[in-house]
Amino acid sequence: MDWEALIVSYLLGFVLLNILLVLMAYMTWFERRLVAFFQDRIGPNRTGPFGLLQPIADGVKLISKEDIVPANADRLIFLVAPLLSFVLAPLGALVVPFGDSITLFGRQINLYVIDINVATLYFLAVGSMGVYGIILGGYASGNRYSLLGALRSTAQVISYELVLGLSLVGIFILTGSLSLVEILRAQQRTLILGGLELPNWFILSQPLAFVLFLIAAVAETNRAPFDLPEAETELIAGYFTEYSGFRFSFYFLAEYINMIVVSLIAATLFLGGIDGPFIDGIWWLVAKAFIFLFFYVWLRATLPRFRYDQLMGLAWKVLLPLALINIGVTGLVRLWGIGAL
Amino acid sequence: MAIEVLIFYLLAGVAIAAAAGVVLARNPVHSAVSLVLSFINVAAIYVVLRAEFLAVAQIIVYTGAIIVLVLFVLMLVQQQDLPEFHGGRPLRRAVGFLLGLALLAEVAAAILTRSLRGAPGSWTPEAVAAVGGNIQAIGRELYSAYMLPIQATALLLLAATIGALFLARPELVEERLAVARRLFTISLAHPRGVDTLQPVAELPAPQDGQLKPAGGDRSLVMARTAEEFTEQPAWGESRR
Amino acid sequence: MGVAVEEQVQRNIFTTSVDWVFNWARRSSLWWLQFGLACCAIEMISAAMPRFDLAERFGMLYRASPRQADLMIVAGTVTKKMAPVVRQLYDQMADPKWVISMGSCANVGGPFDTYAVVQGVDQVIPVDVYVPGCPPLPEALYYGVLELQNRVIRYDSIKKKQGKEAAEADRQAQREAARAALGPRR
Repeated sequence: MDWEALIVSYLLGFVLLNILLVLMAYMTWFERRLVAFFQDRIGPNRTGPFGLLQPIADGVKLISKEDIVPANADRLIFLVAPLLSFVLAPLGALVVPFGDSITLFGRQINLYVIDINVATLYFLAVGSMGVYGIILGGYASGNRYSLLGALRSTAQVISYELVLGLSLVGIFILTGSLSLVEILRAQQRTLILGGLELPNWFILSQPLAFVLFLIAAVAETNRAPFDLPEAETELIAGYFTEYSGFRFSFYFLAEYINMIVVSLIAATLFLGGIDGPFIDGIWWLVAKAFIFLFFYVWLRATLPRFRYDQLMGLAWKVLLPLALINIGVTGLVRLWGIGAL
Repeated sequence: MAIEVLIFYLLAGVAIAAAAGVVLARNPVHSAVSLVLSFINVAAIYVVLRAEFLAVAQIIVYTGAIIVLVLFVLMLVQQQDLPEFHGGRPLRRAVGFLLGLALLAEVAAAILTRSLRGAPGSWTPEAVAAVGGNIQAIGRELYSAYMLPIQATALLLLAATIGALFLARPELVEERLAVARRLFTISLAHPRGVDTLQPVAELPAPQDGQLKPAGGDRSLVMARTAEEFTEQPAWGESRR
Repeated sequence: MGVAVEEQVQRNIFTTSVDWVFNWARRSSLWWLQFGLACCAIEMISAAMPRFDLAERFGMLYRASPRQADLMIVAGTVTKKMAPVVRQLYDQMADPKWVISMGSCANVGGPFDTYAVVQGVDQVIPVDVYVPGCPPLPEALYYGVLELQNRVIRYDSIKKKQGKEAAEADRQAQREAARAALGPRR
């Protein structure tokens, strides 16, 4: 067994998780400032310069708060569920390629934690596991609002997971691989379209799949306008109504880490990931992921929440047929050799 | 190699313990959680065996979809409505015990007759690597050797889908029309449309020219009594 | 006692570092319970809206669940029917928790000297800061929040130095002083 490679992988994963945690903290700051600007407000600006210390203040306060376990809660599950959510959230980022290999201390180090040949499916699997934190937390609280939030989350995640998975099949057909590194390599070629040289990003060859993925990813991460599991106006705080202190902050962290991971994956799958001129690939990846994060906040500041039946109707009656049509068309194009890249 | 064997025993041990938890837990939700734990450990064993695709499929399909649906149903049902898990009727317990024993014997026989390692198939690690990996190997096998079972399964799933559609179909057209008439009608006699509980005593009969259609799709109706107006009984009321 | 505590508080604020982080975190992240009772609630909402932006600028965030809130702003008339609910919400909040009583009705019952209105919410829950006015302007609520931030620092400093009992005793003394400053009740 190659112990050295294993240790390097672990170290890389450790560094990555820590970076994600810091990023997540600043994602809350970014979101609050941005939403404030969208709403013609100022946003947090008293805590540190430009309010930059606000996430730290929130974190320290949440840790020092009382940890309440309701009397009729299912105690064990209640205590474990937030950890489950939090632990599973950043795992998806481990398969994202952050750049080509670099040489450090005389060793060639690949800038991705691991390249498994089922990377995209792995991302979907981790996402589908992440919902357990929500379901079990909602159930264990012994509160009807929490339970309703958990139920909503269950139905929503199952529906949109289908769309999320099917929207990626077109890419698999074009690439012939499920590995993110392979998908990235396929996008680094040049697409010549009527004398125009374009990067072969899948947003160009799979625009429908891109839109479907975007919608399904927002629903999968329980963000506005699909934030029904935690709808304040209806369910108080949804599945984490009964959580206080640092257990609540775990759910909070998980939600934002999920957003960042989904943005990284979307940038890698559709926008060419690290592909770009002039500067190092990793900055391109960050910039592209940033577009998606901005989009998330933009959606939250703009759109009202969906009604529940509208949510399910959208998934099963609109998005799913569109995804199937996309697969069919892509398959036919590939079969007739037009899309032989 | 030794470390892989060690990992296998660890995973298998946890999987078996979790499986025992499924049967022994008093709370059905705890059972479901144990089942998830067991499935995850089985998936991890697949990973140790270099069958990544199978592992991921196991997690997506079983833990990600099926157990989530089970939990969904468990949470919809009130706790006290659930059947008693333990201490049921003695006959039922005995039959369950015997069936479990039979299954165990069957599995043991299957393992023992083929020797503990099982007969090696045609897909050696080299053969898998030659076609490009796990996924490619499974794809080739499924869509060549097992084409007929795949098609049969697809047909079965299609039938199930159509069945689900039939069960969840909208109400019959007549019922829908009746509801629509009720919802989109404004009664002058009843400010809230239909209110069969309060019959209106004396109202002049509607005369031509008096009635004007209200805006939109709604029609304006003058009724003298509630019965004259209402075609459908209100919710929870039987037709008089 | 009072003078000694005062001295220690002063020294604490200027000399400690770890304590300071916790104080600062508690004060800059007062999440408030989204909860309004009468017309004062409109003024409270106005304080959170773009013109004043009280909530976000000072790091306050409204939470709908009492479990995640630090601060309860009792904004409006507390009727006797609502009083148990207010108490329950207060009990559901996680420690450490703070209460601002906003407006004359919540302070002393306001114009409603009737059988149905609680004459001051401090008969139901302990109040840290009273904001007078009918209704108070958003600026007045600001002032109340800033005052509360000072109280938070004071409480945490004493708690770190002398233990929770001393801090609670000091907090209770502060509450009683604030209550006395309101003047006699009807």
